[in-house]
Amino acid sequence: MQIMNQEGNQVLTSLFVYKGKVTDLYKKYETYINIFLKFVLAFLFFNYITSTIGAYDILTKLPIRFILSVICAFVSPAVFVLIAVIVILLHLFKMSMLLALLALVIFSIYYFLYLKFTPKQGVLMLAIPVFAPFHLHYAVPLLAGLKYTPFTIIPVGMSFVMTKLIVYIKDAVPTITSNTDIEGALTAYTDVINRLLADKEVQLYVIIFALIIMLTYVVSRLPVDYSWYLGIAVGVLTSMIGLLVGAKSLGVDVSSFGVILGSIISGIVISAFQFFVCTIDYKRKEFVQFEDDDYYYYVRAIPKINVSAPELKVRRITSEPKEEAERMETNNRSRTRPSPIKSESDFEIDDMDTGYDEIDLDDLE
Amino acid sequence: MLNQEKVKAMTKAAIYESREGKDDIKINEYSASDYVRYNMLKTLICVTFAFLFICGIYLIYTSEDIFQSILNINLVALGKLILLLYVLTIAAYIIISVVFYQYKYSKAAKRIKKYELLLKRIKRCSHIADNEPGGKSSVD
Repeated sequence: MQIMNQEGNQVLTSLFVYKGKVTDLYKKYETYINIFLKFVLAFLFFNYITSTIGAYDILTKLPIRFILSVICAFVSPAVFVLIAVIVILLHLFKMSMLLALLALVIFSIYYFLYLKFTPKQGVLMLAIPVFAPFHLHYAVPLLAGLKYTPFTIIPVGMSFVMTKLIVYIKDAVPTITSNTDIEGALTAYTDVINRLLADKEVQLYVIIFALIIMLTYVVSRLPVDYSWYLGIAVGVLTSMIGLLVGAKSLGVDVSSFGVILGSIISGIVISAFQFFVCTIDYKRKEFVQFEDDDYYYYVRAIPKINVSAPELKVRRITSEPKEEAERMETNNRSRTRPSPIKSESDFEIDDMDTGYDEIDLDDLE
Repeated sequence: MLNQEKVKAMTKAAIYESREGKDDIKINEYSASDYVRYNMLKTLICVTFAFLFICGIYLIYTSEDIFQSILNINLVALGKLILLLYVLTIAAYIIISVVFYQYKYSKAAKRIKKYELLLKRIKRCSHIADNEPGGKSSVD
């Protein structure tokens, strides 16, 4: 039994050492990793758009898709979403101007009513169609519940509407004979909206993903140990049970194997992400330039790496009353409880005051 | 001679300016009530556009039914219903925008306050450096 405990401790220790290494590596190359991840997301998204509604020849060419992805990797998430929407609209415009108008109106409503407040969350809308072919789109509501607020139900729901909308618009194109065929356009509009409203698959996914976001959000914020992982587990279970039961009751064709395996793998991926990446605080390497009356300063600020204090172990040597020993143990436990992780939104100067004390003076001129 | 304390404070201030500071300084140009009112107005315009778009889509979607029963439609009742829906939507969004922008403003104000403390610290450091032997004041 003792040997097993020792082995368990060794595994845990090596896991935390590995976590430290991954954290350091991520901190070191954070900027490049983020740019690369955005590039991959953008490239996969433009591939998805090309394969689904690729009508605009220039935009379907690989070098153009590559250049667009590179641009998206460097711009803010809000601009990234804007570029993606413009690309979709251009493809639809090429198919039919009148039908592209419908998509433009729907995207505008989405922007005016929601995206205007939190433009960064628009990326969640693009992530679902990108990860769906790999059955990893179940990770998106888990991440949304963990990192954001329940309002992310709207971009996640919009994602399913968007994916179906562009397909239905593509299908409705033959209904319109020319750009002045108003009667045909009215029929096509009605057809697209009817199909969208009657789509049980969209309804199922929107409801279940909203449930996953809500439950993951609530459970991950409970004041219990490992609440994040508990939140992920609840989210995964909701995904599996909800989608399988819902699909059966609504008569939607869903791959049971894909749902179960995809949910489990998504849960594992998000747990790993939470374990390795989410615990990194907001501080990162900074390079700033400023000047005063006497000097120009080129400063590289390196955040201090916080080394957690070793856990205190109080060994009772003299005999003490049982209550006293329990009280000491409780105090000890509360002292070693990890502090809550700060997200980027919690950034305050107070934190900066303690974070950048080691300034690389070699770079001063 | 470099003043390390001052360099640290300036670095922190520069990091803040390059990140949240950009938006915070813009927000801080307004008073809290002006900022909330200005954004509320923008939200009102956006919601009005969105409402018109939704009405447009609904009109197109039900165009066939409308053409068939145009004479039987009570236009006054329909107008009242649309107006009621519009007022309800606007009311909901006004509440949301007031809460959202007030929260945003208070967060920015807190950060700006700390940023101003940093600036004071920089000023104090410069002042001390100037008054030191060999500093600007002594040279003058």
